[in-house]
Amino acid sequence: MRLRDNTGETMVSRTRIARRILAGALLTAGLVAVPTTAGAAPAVPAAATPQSAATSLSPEAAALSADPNTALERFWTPERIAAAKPADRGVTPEEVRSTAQTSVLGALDVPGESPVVGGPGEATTFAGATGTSWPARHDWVSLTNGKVLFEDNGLWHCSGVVVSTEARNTVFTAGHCVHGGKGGTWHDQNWTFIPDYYYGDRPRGTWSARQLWALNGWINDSDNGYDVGAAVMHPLNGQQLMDVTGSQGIRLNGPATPSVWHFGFPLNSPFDGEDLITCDGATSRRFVITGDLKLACTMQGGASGGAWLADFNQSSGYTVSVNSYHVGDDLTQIYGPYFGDGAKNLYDSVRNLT
Amino acid sequence: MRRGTARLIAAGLAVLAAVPAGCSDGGHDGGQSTRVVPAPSVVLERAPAPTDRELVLRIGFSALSSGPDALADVEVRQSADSVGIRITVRERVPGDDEAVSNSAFTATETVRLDQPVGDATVVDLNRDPPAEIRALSGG
Repeated sequence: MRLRDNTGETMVSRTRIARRILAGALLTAGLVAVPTTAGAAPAVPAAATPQSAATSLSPEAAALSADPNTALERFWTPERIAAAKPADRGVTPEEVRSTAQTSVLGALDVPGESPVVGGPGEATTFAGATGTSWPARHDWVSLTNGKVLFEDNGLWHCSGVVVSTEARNTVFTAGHCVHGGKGGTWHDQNWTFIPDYYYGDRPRGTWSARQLWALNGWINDSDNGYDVGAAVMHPLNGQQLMDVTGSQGIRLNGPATPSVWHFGFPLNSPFDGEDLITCDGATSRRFVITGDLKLACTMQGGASGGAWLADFNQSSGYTVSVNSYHVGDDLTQIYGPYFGDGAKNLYDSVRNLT
Repeated sequence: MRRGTARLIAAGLAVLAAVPAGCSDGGHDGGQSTRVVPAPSVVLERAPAPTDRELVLRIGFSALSSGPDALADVEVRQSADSVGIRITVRERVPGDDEAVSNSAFTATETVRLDQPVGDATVVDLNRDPPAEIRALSGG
């Protein structure tokens, strides 16, 4: 920060500026409440506004069935999954400097819903920062945290989570798992969510998306602080996704640095992308009191879009972020966007889309 | 007073927007230099039958790999008890402060064996100690 004291402009002391920076940072980090004043509209940036796109089947997939779920179940053969390519989004230094979403639209907590079939999780110990295999299958956790695949000039891998909505058909993931970011396009072909995935096994079916959503901050600027997306899924066999899997909760504009459990399908060693892996720990902010959420965890490539669950009780919790990126060669820390006003706008846009 | 509070917050946000968060120098966006590293992951597309003389491997790559030259080398060491696989891949060297997306891709590689697999266990020699390479169930 530069202070110029040789101009004719009004001088502002370093202390005062520091207070202003701190106030802004605390606000951005969601640590202080915004005073509600008559006539003062909350300052929610345009970056927090969502956009959507309808999905489609590629000609190859469409030729397999008229039903999108059946078409994608047949399309995603082991060979095609194996041919998947990276979702490298070429982040620039400017994007690295991005800060967190604003937090002025008010808090929202929506709890998860237990699956009709599938018991609670059985984890009894903390996973810690070294990702470990989730010890149960067909349980609430395994049903709601799934593998994401899509096709866009190649076949790609991510992770995602079923979150509670009135429409009962919503998957949250990373923004870069639904849109290529600045200069990119929607990843709108053959977008697929596979709950309870394990080494090729798909006991709860292959679910296709009909609509994808991302935030302007991600779409227009590849801003990591807005790297969250959503998919509205087609029904399968007459049921909505949440009817089969249950859901995890979602918490918007919540505490600035929650402790979380993270779930996803990483492919970086020693993982192989075929098993649900978990980490847990306290989060911090990338830049001390602002910036993206930071978690000590070794889950990287392939875990993008995987849920960060706060107040997790071995079965369900509240989705407060998703896995987004790591920095340089640091294999010990991962980052995700704070679910502030952007995530709230996104959630409000999709929650009733039946 | 309320107006002053609003101005204070606005000023804080404006300064924040102008100052690189965390006073980061942004590092660099990663050079064009590449390196060869152990493959992030490998699984067997299917469990081999004892008479099979080839293995179909699904190799995982990080977001730093791309292009047809991403696979650097596949080394096979076969004995009566084990078939050892050591895979290396090429990837771009990231910048110190570069945000690298946690996405990944996989590619299939078929390797020929001198002898049938028999009862040998297929292991990943990149792991220490070598770890069994698991097979997909197909589901």
